[in-house]
Amino acid sequence: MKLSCLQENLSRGLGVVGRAVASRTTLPITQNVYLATDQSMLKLSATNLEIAMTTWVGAMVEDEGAITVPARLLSEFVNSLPSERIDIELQPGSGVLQLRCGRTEANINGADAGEFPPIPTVDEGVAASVETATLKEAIARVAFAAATEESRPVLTGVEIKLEGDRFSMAAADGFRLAVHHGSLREPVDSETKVIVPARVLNELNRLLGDQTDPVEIMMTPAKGQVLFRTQGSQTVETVSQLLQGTFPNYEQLIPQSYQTRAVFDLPSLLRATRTAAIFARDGSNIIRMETQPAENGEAPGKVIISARSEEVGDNQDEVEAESLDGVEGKIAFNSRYLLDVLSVLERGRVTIETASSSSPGVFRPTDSEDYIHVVMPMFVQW
Amino acid sequence: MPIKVLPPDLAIKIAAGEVIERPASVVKELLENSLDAGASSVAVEIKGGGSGETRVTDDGRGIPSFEVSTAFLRHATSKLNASEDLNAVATLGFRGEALPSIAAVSRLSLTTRTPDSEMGYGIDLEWGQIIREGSRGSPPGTTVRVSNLFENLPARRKFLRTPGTETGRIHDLVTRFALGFPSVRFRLTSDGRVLLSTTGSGTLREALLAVYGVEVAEGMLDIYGEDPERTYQVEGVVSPPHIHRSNRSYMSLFVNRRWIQSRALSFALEESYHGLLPVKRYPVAAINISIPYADVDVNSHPAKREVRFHHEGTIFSTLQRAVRAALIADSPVPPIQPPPGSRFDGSSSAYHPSSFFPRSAFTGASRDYPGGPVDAAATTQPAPSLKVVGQVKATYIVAEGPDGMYLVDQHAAHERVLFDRIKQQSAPARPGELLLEPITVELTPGQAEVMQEKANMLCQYGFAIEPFGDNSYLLRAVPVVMTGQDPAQALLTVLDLVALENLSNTQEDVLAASIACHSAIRAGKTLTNDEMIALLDQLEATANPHTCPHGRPTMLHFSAAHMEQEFGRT
Ligand SMILES: Nc1ncnc2c1ncn2[C@@H]1O[C@H](COP(=O)(O)OP(=O)(O)OP(=O)(O)O)[C@@H](O)[C@H]1O
Ligand SMILES: [Mg+2]
Repeated sequence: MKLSCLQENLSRGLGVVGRAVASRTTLPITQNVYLATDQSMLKLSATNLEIAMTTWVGAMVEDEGAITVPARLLSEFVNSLPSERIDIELQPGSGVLQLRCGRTEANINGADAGEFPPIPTVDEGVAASVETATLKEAIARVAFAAATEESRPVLTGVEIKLEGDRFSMAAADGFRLAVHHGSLREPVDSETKVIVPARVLNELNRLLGDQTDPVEIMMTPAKGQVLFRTQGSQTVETVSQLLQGTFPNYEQLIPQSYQTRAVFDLPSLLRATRTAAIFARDGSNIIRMETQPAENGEAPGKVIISARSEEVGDNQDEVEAESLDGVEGKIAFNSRYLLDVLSVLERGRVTIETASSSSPGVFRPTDSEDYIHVVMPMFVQW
Repeated sequence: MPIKVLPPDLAIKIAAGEVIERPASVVKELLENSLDAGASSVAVEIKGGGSGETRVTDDGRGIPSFEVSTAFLRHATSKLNASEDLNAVATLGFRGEALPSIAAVSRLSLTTRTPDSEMGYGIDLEWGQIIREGSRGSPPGTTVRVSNLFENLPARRKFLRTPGTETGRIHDLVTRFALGFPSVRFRLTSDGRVLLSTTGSGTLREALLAVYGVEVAEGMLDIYGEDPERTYQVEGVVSPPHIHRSNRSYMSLFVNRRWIQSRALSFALEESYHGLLPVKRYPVAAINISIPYADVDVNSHPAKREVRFHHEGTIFSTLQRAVRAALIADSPVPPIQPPPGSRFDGSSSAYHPSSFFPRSAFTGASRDYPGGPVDAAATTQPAPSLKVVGQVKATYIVAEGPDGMYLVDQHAAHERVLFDRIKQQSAPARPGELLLEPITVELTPGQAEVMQEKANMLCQYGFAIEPFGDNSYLLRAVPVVMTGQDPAQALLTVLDLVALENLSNTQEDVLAASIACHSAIRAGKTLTNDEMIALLDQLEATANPHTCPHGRPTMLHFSAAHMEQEFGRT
């Protein structure tokens, strides 16, 4: 193998695939990065067996070849180099990767490329294409609602469904449910459903950064894999194992009726919730919400948000509703769940629908049908 | 009121009250009879916690048919002849009280056959009156069936606890017999479910395995000791310092194989662990003391639970020496000389076999008197403010504090934080987090028993549970601290932990501790620096930062002075 490439490109490529390098592992070779010539490119791959990432770096290839070397050592070395041309050479049979950049030279002992776990390729299945911004929003609004502990594997995932020119993502951890709908760039032929680990989507979200090119998704439920191809300044393929199992039938968990529906200015509600969360911290995270329709029909009504902790003290805040229809009601939520949903909605107005103090609260952005978030209340003493 | 001689049926009821207090007393007396009859296998079957029915079957020598009805006369015993014999009782029974006492307060039927007779013999009694007797088919040995206990004494029936609690007592009792008689096969079933089954192989360790499980059985240390005159022998097993329990019920003491309760002997045993166990923790032990029959008075308590020794002091010191010798032999590191000026200096408590580091002053104060009152000053002492240095084995947080280094057990520390948080939330109703969808949980009969016993308390702690047929339940909510876990698993683990701690313990702390234990971060979890800082802050804010709810220490202190000494700087 003999080639040359630019330091900054190699450095960036190693930085990307570095995320998939196994940190602690029983299979030491997964701490290596795989390097191979691929047409006129240098292909870099890494995997921790759950997720595999591959990217390509432009190169001038003289001789074909492949090897794996310790990922951390290689990227630390490359990062230390000036941004110039790097010449890379592997003498056949030597197992030692030689790097030269200006007057700096290094020899890194590698391991045979054949020992590297095969990087899954996804070349068949249902392909779809999504705008990066659309995908990022969906992930941000849904993935946090997935369970984090491993005892219920399916719930640590996000269900992604493709149907016509729409996609949906859903996550639920047993106490709350988040569902987001978005558009595909082109319709897909067949309806497909898979469960992708939430962790992988969060990683993907970070990778997408502020790039603008659309993301391609390839699903092969039969092989239990999904591939995301992002274009950006360089092509990156992320392949993940799918989670096996049946995702809860969440449609039936979304309440169809309500007793009280209130619309609030999100920043005001979020601020009041943040304040209450400070006091809720020591009182098992309880935030109490009392909705009060206006009496004389002048103002629409308000919600009283309060928290108390025996040790610390208490606080109370009033937020005027922009509109409120229905009866007065009391409901208590876990401050963490409340903050999570209000934070991802971020701006604009939020509609909250409740039925009783023991039935779920439904949160949606007031101006869109795309997102729905269901949170179970806490049962508390009032 | 003039003084009168009580009519006989009233007299027997009163006497019965002394011997037979509760279903467990019935089991105890019947087991003793079986063992006195040389049984090699005894089965105890109870229903409804023993107040429904109790049946004890043995393969002992049986009762000759012509003696069966005599056995139900008061003071009828085959075990003593003259009053001199009372000074040297070799059998578990000796008063001839048990069978008539049980019969007086129940419906009882006994079937028995001696090995050399062709036919068995049976007798049925109601409230002490024989209503039927005669030849009956029977395997060799004796079966006694007792039902309707205390039905003629409504006042006493009221004192019975729930079936679960009574079952717990009986279980505990049979456990003791199993440990006292490893060569007898014991089997206890409750409503058809096997609670205990030993092999009767004769080795104490196998009995321990059946009773306390593999960790205890494998970990226990053998002890043996005798006094200089070789009159008394102390023999058995005790736990190494790292195995301990939250109450004294895991310490079983036997005198000539009779299980006894002796405050003094228990104290002697606990004293042997001086400084080795966390506050309010007790060892596991099964120890038999062989004493010449004439040197012990077993006739001092109506239920034969307590005994009097003629040479108490010698027995204590023999016991203590035997236990200490075993603990020292087990010590993984050589005992070090305590640093000069420490409070261990020169006193007899300088003995510190298995702690490489002398316990720090703050956890040490209350260790001086295991079993004694906890030194309030020591436990309420605030935690030192600690600066995180790092993490070891993804289990311990290394921190720097005033005067040296501290090692904090992350699980124990978090357990303390959560426990305090749970306790702080005001009873009767702690908040629960409702589930999106209720979950069906299948309980084992054991778990179902705890569930029934503790249903109210589970609710108060934030669980919402509904019966769903048989042993199925619908779980609708879990305590707030448990939201990070699989809800069904959380419930099952809490039930198991509560059962393990003690079925009959009504203290709600057990539940809080179990919830805290299951929710706390595990050993083996890598923590970020921020997480460690937050944990130590929270720990510092608790009322009792030095121990976890089970009494294990949350932190060890390595004083600067001690480090200097160990590194040879002084
Ligand atoms: N399971 C048994 N097998 C053989 N004999 C038995 C059995 N149970 C009782 N007996 C006989 O019946 C007698 C009376 O039993 P009981 O338990 O009333 O008195 P005890 O055992 O002699 O004294 P204590 O009141 O201290 O138990 C015994 O002495 C024994 O001879
Ligand atoms: Mg007896």
